[in-house]
Amino acid sequence: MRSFTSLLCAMTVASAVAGPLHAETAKTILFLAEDVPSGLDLDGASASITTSQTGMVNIMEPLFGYATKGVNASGITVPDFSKFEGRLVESWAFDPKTLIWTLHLRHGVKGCTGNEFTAKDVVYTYERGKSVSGSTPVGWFLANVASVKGFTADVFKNPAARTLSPDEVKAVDDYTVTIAQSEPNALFLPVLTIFGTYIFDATLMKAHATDKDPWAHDFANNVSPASFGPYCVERWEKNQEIIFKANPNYWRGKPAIDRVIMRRVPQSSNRMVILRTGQAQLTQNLTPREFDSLRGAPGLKVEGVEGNESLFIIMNFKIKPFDNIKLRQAIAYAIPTEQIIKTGYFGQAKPWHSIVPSIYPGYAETPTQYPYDTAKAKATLADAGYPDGKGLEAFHDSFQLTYPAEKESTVGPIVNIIQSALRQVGIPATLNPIPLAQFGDRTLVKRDLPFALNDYDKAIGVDAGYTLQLFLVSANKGGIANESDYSNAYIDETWPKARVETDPAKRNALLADMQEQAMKDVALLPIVEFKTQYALSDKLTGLSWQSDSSERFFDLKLQ
Amino acid sequence: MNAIEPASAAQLAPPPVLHVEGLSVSYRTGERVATPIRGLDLTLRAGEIVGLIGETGSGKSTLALALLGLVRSPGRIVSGKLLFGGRDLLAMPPDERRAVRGRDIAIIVQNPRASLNPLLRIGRQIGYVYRSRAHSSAAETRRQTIELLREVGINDPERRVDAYAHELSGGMAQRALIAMALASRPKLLVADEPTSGLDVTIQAQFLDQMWQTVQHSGSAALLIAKEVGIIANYCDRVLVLHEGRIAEDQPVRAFFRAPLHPYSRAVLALQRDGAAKLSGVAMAAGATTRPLISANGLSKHFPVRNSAKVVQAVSDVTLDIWPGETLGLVGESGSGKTTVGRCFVRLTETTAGHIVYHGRDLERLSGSELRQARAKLQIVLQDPFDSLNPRWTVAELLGEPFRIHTKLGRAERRQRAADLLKVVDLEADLLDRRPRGLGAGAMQRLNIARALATKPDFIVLDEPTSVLSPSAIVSLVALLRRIQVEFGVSYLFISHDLTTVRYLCHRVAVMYLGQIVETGAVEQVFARPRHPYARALLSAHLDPDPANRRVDRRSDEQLKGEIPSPIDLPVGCYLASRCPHVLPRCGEQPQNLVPLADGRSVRCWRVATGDLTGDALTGPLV
Amino acid sequence: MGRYIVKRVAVGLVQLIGLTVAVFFLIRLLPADPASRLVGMNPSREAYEQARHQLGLDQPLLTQLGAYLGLSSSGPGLLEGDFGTSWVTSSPVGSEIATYLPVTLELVTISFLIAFLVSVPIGMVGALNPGGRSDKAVFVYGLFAGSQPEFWWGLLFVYVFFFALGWAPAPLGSLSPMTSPPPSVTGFLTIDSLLAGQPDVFVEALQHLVLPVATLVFVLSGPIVKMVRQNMARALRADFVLYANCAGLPPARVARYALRAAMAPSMTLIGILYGFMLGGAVLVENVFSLPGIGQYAVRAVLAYDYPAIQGVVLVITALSLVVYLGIDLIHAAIDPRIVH
Repeated sequence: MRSFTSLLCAMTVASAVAGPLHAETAKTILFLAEDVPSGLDLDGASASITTSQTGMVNIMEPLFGYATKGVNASGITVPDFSKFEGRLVESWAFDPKTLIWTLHLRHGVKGCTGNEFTAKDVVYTYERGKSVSGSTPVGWFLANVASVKGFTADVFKNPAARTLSPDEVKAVDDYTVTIAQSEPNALFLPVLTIFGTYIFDATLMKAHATDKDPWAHDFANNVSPASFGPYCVERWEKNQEIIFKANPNYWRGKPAIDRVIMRRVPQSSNRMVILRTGQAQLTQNLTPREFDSLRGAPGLKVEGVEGNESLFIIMNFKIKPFDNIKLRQAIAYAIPTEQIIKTGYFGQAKPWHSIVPSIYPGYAETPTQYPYDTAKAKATLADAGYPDGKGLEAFHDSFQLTYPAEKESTVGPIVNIIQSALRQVGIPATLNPIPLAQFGDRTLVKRDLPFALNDYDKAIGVDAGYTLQLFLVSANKGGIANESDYSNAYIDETWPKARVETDPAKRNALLADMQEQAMKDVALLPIVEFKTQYALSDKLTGLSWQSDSSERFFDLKLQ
Repeated sequence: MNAIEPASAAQLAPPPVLHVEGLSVSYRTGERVATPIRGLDLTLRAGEIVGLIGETGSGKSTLALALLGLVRSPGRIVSGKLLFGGRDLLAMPPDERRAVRGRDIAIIVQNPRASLNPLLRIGRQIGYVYRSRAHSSAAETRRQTIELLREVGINDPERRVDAYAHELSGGMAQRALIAMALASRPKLLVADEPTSGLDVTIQAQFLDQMWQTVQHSGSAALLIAKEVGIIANYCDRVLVLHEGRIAEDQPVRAFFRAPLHPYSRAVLALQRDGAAKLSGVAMAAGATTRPLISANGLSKHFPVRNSAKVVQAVSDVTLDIWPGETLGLVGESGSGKTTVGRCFVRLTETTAGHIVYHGRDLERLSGSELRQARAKLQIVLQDPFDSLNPRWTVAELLGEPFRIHTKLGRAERRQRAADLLKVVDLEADLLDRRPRGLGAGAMQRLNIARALATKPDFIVLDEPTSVLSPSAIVSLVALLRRIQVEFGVSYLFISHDLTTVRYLCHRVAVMYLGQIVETGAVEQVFARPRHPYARALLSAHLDPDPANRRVDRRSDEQLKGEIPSPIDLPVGCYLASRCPHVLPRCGEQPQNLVPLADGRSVRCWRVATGDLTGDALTGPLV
Repeated sequence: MGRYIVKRVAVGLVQLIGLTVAVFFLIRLLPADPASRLVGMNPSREAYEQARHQLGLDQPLLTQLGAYLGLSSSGPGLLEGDFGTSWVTSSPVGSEIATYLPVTLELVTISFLIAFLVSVPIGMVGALNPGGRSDKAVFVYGLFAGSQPEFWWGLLFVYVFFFALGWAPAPLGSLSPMTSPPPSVTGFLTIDSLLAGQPDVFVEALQHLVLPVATLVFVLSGPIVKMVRQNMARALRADFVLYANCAGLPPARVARYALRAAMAPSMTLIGILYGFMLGGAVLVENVFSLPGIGQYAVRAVLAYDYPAIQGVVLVITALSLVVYLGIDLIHAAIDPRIVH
């Protein structure tokens, strides 16, 4: 036994001396994430998990993307949300009278299997979406948001409505597809950039269809639906790692990085420590403190982007005393934004002046603002009928500030700051961490949380209107993420108008009005927008950002 | 080989095997230091057996271990010399001492089953001891071990060698330990109360065995015992341990004739003379026509768990008890006497047979009739402590029967309780005390008082004296006799203490493995037992008379082997496997209880036909 | 003995079935709704209903139970050995457990073996020389090791041995990302790599196990040493040990007597610890990125993945029952006084 142990020790030392990972002939990078994809089906159970989305966006290709705006100060390439460029689509035209989009598809696009991309793949994708056969009908949802003809709620109740008809999506010829809208909804192009509408390789998917599973959901979730994207799946061990291999036939050219090994390392401190030794080249989702500590580390750099991540407070209109607008405003004045930016985010955040991400088209800084002012907070609280918080003890349960327990390491300091600030003003706030799954259920489905802090929900469609629809329209009128159960007649009436307004200027004006109304009512209380950060080797360049925050490996280059 | 007269032994003076000088052993527990052995000297010579007696707690076991150079923690051997074969054991390096210990000194301890490793087969353990002294192959060791077991009288040694300690009876385990002890023919054998807990006949077998082995090998032996009977019958010399030193050292006959030390005199007075006090035959009961209570064909068996077999505790017992008489019931473990006693008062239900009381079947009674019967049939059990509720006062305890069977008020009950205390010679001021501080003898008197409360006709006394000291036994037994004379109560007296049986009982029944093997008047049975088992039992009684040692007598009474298990009983006579007079017919035919001419009954065809006559026994029991 | 084993197994099966049904109903009392987790970015009413339908949650409870057991017409169920499909990954729960359980078993078994081999001699020495130097050292170690939770030690070991000293490999999982694992036969990396004739992979798997095993051994040794020491000290005071000394047996033999008597109760503790560690190793698995069953269980519970939760409970309970049966058999083998 002794000799075995010493042999083991010797080997451990020897292997460590061998040094960190070197890319020799083929360029390989090791990317550490808190998890690896647990499914790759766009309509599957993992579609809402960000690490799964990372897998999806790198193995499949959209019809449209955003043009590049440039590289930001930190080194991240950011998109220009006002300009679309075709990806699988070469050129396109829209007929406002028939509401039909004609898409001319790119030639010579080959997928991981060598199959060539043609119109049938687009049609298959929409057929699949309309079949709503997956665990979560993401494809249908996005098409519905974009008002694609035929994608109504009817499909759930009426099986006959699930078949795609040619007047909805049609393959005119091998490289031409028409898609019809049911109304002039400006969200069409933005939606087609979202991962949920990426295009499947029909031949591949049909080859793996079975009688019980005609749309190959099992195959997509457990093997790989890698279609026309820049990477294919070389190996996939759920809960452990996934290895992406470059698609040599990718239409933009073979990616610079041959292999990306995405490894699951659940402890963020371990991710940081491994990165520091140089064994890994890229990681994400460290705590703000960890990112801050890596800033000067040799061989590493920390890059951040002002994206669409934000922190906001939910106060439920249907639970007393949050139906009192003055009380809501009092709380708004009591939030110490600067302190949160400094202590919670180490300076990598900025105050948020509307309920829409500031980079989204249609964002308007509202005239009504609630800068941090304890005197004003106390005065407004008195106006609300609770001078110095007297009378609020009766609502003790409503003032439990709820947040996801899994996020304790990042959100913990922030909720403590908010709790003390509120108590100073007289509001009896306490803390209530609950499991993430329960948090999601209660904010989105049951809507029964009185008082909560949310740092992860965002609208993935890059449009203020889309955001407003999700979060502010009444729940029964399309406001599916209306977490504060807000219901305002003006907003409910204005949104349908804005949705189909073709004149961008008029549309933006309507959206601005809606944002101002929401701000006056404190529909949701925006606090800060914080940077999305990444830590990487200084030899790695080309990191880019899109609205889903997933890394695109194609753009990366390793020196 | 005859014993050498101790007087001439002193002249020949064989060399000393062990010479102890100034031995002191002390225990330190926390602050307190106790020194049970202080400055002790003794000498043991080859070929002699030396007995050692002393009070409980005087340090006898400590001395026994110390002679090996060992002591239980937290004790230490503080000073002294142990000269063994000329060399001081205590001065030797530990390895040498261990070697000497293994080879030349052997010890037999009080609780044999605890001394064997419970996890290993006994053959292996004995083998380890064997091999620690001599190099030997595994096969050879096993063969030697089997031979050793056979030598010490274990039946079927080829099978037993693979048994585990818990599968052996106490007697067998003790023999296995002797086998271990004698495996190397030691020069010194130390035996620390080796027969405590063993049945009388087994004890006799064991001590005979030990005596013979010591005589053959010429080793020295130190035999520690509590009963002077053992000392008288087996030892050549007697040592008395008192206050950490040897207070007296005399040859055995001189010791018994005239003990020097005051403590020795006290011990002898109690044990030997106490027996003498119990003399005089119990007065014969008046004749009446009908027995007070009888057992007819009583049988009881208990099912064995997870098996179809049964333990045959009692087989076909028929006994009559007449008013005013005491019937003694004697036997060893497994004889069933306790079960019989319990059936008599319906504490246990019979499997077959009847208990007839006043002409009625006791087991058919129910309700108030049963309750009345119970008032008249009482029992006193072995352990006086367990029989009394420690949280009740004496007044409550004695008042309980009145509460159950009568409608007397509290004051009256208290008065009756005071009366009962007087009957049993206890002071009236005990009424408000709890039984906690009382001695065993006093508690047993309380039990008897309580039994007398309902003026019973019949009391079963189940080993009432076994936990009492000798002086307490004497007074308790006298009390019982007085009560019988005064109140005319009948007793069923169950005991293994033959001296008290002799004193108290009119008639006696001897039981073996659930059957009665002999009944008769107590003078008849004790003076001249006929059944081979009764003979073995009575001659195994060791009386403290060194002039008449058991080892000096011719013994044709010895039984072989062990008491068999009451589960698989043979067809014929139950004693057949052990009886010195066995013939083939004994094993084939079931034996019946046959009345003899002189009024007793014996269960042995050879006795009934006059084949076996049997001599009269001698001794104080006769 | 054979009958005893059969009886235990039969009773165990009944226990497992009862437990399965109990867990089935109990987890459905949990406050969150598994369907809502699925509709994260798309919480429309229709999507929610669709999700509930997909998961079978819109059916009455007994129908769901029937489907789970395989009694209904919707396909094989638990009674045919099908554990269902995970609601998070859509992979079959049975194959997921078969992938993750061996990782934990490998980690825990190796840790226990080493802890046993290390702790028993130390406990023995402590009992034979009470108050001696090694005894005092062990006492201090016991206080020290037990004072912090195991993941704290794990993170400390990572920091010291990997980051500061560079002796150990990165806490990246069971193998380096550059190495491809051997074909899976038993699921145990060590065994599979030997079976596939890849000794270099075998060595690498062991290297990656060094730190996690060291963490567990460090923490487990404390109670095992204490227990062995205590039991052995008690055995040394027993009459048969005294008698063995009287009979002149060599000290090594006497020590073995005492050790054997001490092992029976110690084995019981070790067995219970082992059953506990199957789930309890989750924190160490988390620190070292090992894809074990503990991780799987935690994720299943947090995501309200009912089939996975049920599967894990069933498998770990079955394993524990097997371990307890094994312990009882070993106990009976050591101590002949125990009769079954």
